[in-house]
Amino acid sequence: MAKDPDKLGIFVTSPVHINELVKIVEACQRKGKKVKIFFTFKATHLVLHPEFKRLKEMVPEEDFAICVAALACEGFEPEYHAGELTANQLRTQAFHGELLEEVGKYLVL
Amino acid sequence: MKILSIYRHKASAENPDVQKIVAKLRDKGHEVVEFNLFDAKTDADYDKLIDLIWEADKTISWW
Amino acid sequence: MSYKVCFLIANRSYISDGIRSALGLAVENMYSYTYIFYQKMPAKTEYLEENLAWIRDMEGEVFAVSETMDEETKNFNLQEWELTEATLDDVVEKILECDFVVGYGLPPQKIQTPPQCA
Repeated sequence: MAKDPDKLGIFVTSPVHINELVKIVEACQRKGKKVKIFFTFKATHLVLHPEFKRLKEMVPEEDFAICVAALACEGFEPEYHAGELTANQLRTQAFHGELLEEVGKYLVL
Repeated sequence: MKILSIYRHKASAENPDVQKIVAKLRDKGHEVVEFNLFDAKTDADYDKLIDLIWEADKTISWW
Repeated sequence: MSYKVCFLIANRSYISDGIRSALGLAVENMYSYTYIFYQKMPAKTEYLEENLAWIRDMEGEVFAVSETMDEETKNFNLQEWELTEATLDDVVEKILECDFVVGYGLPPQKIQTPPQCA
């Protein structure tokens, strides 16, 4: 995947920054920037947050994923707790590597 | 190098070890711009953050 | 291009997963370094020991930032886990050297960990 200088990679590790994440995605879109987002560990709890669905719809399918192993380790059942995500959005940590290769800028939440 | 230091929690902005690291980066001649994410409220705050991310060579987002 | 990435971890409950995530990048052929601040490593498990060994095989490392630790924590991390000792100056050097810096998880907790967390 070629580097996209106009894309911000966001690695979400915090389960308490969903409001900030939404604001950051909105700000990127106002400025004509793209985002690629990966949720890991306790941030996978955010699949249950009311804002999650709206956030998912703001980002192309291939640029939005969670760590499915982390979701399972946290006690959730991917099939029904993350049922709105596609199989392509239930990923491993390799998605983080792919994100780093692809984005021009990078932010951790 | 221009470094953006983002604080997700107030506790991190006030963390003495984080402050020491930021001071050491400055001592080495790097420009460190700080942004209190815990204090960001308005769209203008977030627009500023995006500008800072693109202006920086490297971004560190502290816990 | 093989990127260099450093993980900075300060919260007890994020240590194991942070190391797992760091390993995830190492196996993608990135140089992966993890710095543990303040905290005592978890009790040894085969899984975590294997992850640490694998990171080292991939030319990465897990460090204990010893000047942020009390004596017991430092001894446990350096002697039991054989983490590599690092200073805040080392962290600064690595931040400058790495392509990406990952402040992983939440801040350290101020409260004493309750026994219920065991």
